[in-house]
Amino acid sequence: MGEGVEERIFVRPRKHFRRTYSTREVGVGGLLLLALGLVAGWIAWRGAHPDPELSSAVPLEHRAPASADRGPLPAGLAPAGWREQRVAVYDPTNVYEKIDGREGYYKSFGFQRLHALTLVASAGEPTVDLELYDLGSPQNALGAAAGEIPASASPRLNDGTLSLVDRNTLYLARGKYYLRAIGSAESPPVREVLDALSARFSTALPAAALPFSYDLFVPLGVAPGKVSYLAENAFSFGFASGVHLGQLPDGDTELFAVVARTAADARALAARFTRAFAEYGKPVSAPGGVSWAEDRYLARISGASAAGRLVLGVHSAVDVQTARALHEKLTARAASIPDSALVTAAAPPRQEE
Amino acid sequence: MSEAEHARLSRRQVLRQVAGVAAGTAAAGLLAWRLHDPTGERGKPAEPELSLPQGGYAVEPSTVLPALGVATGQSVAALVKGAVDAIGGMGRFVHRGDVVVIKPNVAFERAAALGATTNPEVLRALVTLVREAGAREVRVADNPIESPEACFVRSGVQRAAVEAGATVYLPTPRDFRTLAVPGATWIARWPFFHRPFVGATKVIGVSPVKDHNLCRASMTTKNWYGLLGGRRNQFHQDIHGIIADLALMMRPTLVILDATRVLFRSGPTGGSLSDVRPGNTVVASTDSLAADAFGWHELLDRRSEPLPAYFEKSAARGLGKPDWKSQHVKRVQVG
Repeated sequence: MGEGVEERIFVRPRKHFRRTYSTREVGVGGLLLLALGLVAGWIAWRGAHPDPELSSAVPLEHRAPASADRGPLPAGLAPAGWREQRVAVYDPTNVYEKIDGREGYYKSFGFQRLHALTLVASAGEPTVDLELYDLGSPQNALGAAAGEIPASASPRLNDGTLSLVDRNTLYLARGKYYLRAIGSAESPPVREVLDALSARFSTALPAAALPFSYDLFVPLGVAPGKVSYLAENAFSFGFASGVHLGQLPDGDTELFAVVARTAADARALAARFTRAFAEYGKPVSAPGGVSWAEDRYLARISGASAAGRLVLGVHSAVDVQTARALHEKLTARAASIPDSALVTAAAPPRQEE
Repeated sequence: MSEAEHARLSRRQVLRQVAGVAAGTAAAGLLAWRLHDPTGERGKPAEPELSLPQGGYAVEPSTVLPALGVATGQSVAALVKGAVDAIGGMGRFVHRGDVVVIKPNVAFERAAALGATTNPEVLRALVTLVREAGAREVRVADNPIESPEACFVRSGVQRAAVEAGATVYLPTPRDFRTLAVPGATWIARWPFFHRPFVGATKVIGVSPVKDHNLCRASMTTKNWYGLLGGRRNQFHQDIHGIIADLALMMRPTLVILDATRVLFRSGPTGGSLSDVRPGNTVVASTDSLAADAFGWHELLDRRSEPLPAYFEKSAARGLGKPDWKSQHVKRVQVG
C-alpha cells in the first residue's frame, strides 16, 4: 500500500499519514476538544445541581402567570368600588395549575386557552373570579356551559348568547367562548357585578352562528338552555362523539342528532346506536323504520335512524308511541335544515399534558 | 481500491481490522448501556431518601371502639367533637407533647362556602381539640394547586388555623424532599412536602366531601395528594392508582371527613353555590377507606353506583376496609 492511498482504514505501523501537518489544524482540534470538554463539564455540573423546580412544587409566581395579554377580556371590567387583579393566561400545557382535576372536562370540549381575572371589592371582600375559556367552536362553548349550568335552571338565549346568573355564578356562552364568573358569596353587590358582566360580555365577545341543533330542537319544544353538545362519550357509548342533544321539559326524554360525513356513515352509525341501546335492554317491536329498545332498568325507550348525513334519535322516552311520534317530528324538522348548516363534528383535540 | 490492492490484504490484516471494528462497536454499546437512563432517576443527584415512620402515624387499633364516628347537627365545633368522641375522643390520638400535622384540603382559591376546600370552622374546632389534648405544636400544611398564599387566605383556612393556635406551613421549593414509598406504583420515590413533618409525631387529615371529575370523589384518601410536589398532574392518567399509592404513603393518626357542606357536582373546583348542599355531618375514623366509602354512599348519595376503583386497589393492599356497613359505626346527634 503506497503513500497517499486514501482508502486505508488502519495505519500500521503508526506513523503520520502525511509527511507534514498543519499546526493550525492541531490548534483548531485543540479548541474543539476544549469546547467539548466545557460542554461536558457544564452537563456534569448541571446534573449535580439540578433546577429545584424540576422536583418541587410549581412556585407561586409560575402558578398564575401574570400576563399583559388580556385576550378577549374587555378592558375596564371592574365597576366603581372594585378593582381588577392581574390577568393570568393558561394553555393546554399548564391549565392544570389553575384547575387541576377538572381540566379534562374543558379539554374534552376542545380547550385552547383560559384567561382568568379576579375582581375585588375595595374592602377586599367580596370577590368575583372570571374564567374565560376559548373552546374553539360555538358547539363546544355551549356544550361546556350546558354541562355546568344547574339542571334546574333555565338560561336565556338572546342574540347568540346563552347566559344565566344563578346565585353566585354567571354562566355565559357566546361564539367560541365560555365565561364563568364566580362570586365569593351570594349577595346584592356580587349580583350587580354579575349582571354587569353578563351585559358586557354579551356584546364584547365575538358572536358566531349557533349550531344547527338549535334550529332542530327548539321548534320541537326543547328550551334553548337545554340544547347541549357532547364532544365524546354520549350516553356512555365510547363511539358516540359529536352528539347534539335537546332535553325535553319532562327532564328525561332527549332528542339527539349526529352529523356523519356521508349518508352511508350515518346509516352505519345509526346501526351502532341501535345495537348499543339494545345491549342495555331488549328490542321492542313497533311499526316504522326505527328499531327501538327498552332499558331493562329504567324501562325507557331509545332508538335512532339515519336521514341523509344525520343520525336522528330519541333517548329515554316514556313509551314507544311517544318515541315514535317524537322521532317522526324530528325527522320532519331535520328535512328543513340545509345541508350546509350541518357541520361535521371532528373528534375533540386530545391535548395531552 | 484496485483489485491489485485487495489482493495485497492478508487474512491477518482483514481479521485484525474486523476485530478492531467489533471492539469499537462493543465499546460504544457498553458505554450506551451504562449511560442509559430512561427514567432520568440516575441523572438526579444522590440525596438521602426520606422515609416516614414504620407503620406511619397510626395509633394502636381498638377492638372495642367504633371504626366510624358520625356526628350530625348544626354546630360545627360540636360536630367535630362529637365525631371524634364517638371513636374514643382526641385523648386516644393526641397526647401531651405531641407535634401534630393537620392536612386540610386547600387546593383551590375559593371561598369556603363553595365547598371546594375544608371548612375553616371545622379546622378551627379540630385544632382546638388537638390543643386541648396537650399537643405541643400544631402545624397546618397543604400544597395547593393554585397560589398557596391566595388559597389559604381566601378559603379562610389561614385565619382559622392561626386564631386557633396552629402554625401554617406554606410550601416553598426548598420544603420538598424525595420520599421513598416502598411498594408504590407511581410514587416509589417522589418529592414530598417534608418540612411540616420534621419532628411530627401525629398526622390528621381533614378533607371536604367533593365530587371529582376524574376519580368521581375526593375525600380523605385523595387529600394526601396535597403533600406531593413535582409534576403531579401526570398522575391523572391513573388517578385510582395514585390514590391507592397515597393510601400506602400516609398512614394517618386520624382522618376527619368534613361534610358540613357537600360539593356534589362540578368538582373538584366547584364554584357555584348551586353545586353545594348542606351536609351538617362530620365523620371521624382511623380508616380512610371506611370513611370515604361512608361518604360515597351516605354523603354524596351515590348508593346506586359502585365504589370508585381506588377503594379496591387500596383494600387489596390491606390499607383499610371499604365495607363500612360491616363495621361498628357510632352515630351521634349534636347541637
